[in-house]
Amino acid sequence: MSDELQEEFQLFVDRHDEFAEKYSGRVIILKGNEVVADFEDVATAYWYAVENELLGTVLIQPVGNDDSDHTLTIHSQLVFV
Amino acid sequence: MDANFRAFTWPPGVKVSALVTDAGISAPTKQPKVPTKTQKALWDTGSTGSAISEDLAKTLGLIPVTKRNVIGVNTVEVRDVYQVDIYLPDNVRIANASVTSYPPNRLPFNVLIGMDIITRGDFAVTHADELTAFSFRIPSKETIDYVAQHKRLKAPAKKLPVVGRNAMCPCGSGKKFKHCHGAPN
Repeated sequence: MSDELQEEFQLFVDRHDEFAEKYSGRVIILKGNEVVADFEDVATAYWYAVENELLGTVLIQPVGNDDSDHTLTIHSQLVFV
Repeated sequence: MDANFRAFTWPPGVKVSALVTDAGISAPTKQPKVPTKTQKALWDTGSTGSAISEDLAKTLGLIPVTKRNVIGVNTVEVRDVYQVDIYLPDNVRIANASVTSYPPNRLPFNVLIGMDIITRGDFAVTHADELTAFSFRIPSKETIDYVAQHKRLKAPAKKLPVVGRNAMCPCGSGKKFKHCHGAPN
């Protein structure tokens, strides 16, 4: 795993409730500790980031009401363990 | 049912123990551009999301857009997430899908299709005559219900009302039955 975006991701996890309250159902672009834009879907956010930011330096993150917005669960223990 | 969907059916010709199809993976493009090289993709209903191997991500030069906590049975691991276009058989394209990376050499497949993609459409696996047939359609068009299908097959056929030869035809043509749907061929 790369170190890129680790700080932004940790910030998102730590302040999840705050983001959920403001942006639930949206996709945010997080640059440092600031939300620079929010969009209806990931595709729109992605193309915005390609055209206006440097990919890999901003976090493109869907925001939901619970942890499932930043969690992948593997019920069959095959790939990651 | 309208025909506005894309679908593929994968008949391996044998009974299989894993659903593994071809899949092309590329960085997102605004217009479809089918990759020349295909990967083997395992369809996994046990995974909440789709994933690709870290090796493939490197080969394709993908750049992470976020991360995810990956929860296994006994572990939690933070992994990179990429945006990709996925080209399934018969030109079924999943544009701008989010895929989590998994460490190299964990699976003999470079792609894992999880429930985030499976739930976008209709997914059916049958084994008539001991042969696996796997069909996928996107977007979802109808519910497949084998119980309801069985009940329909068992239900007695409806009796049609008896129409006298000189009565008006029930089709609404205004003709007598004997000159309309009751006419001898």
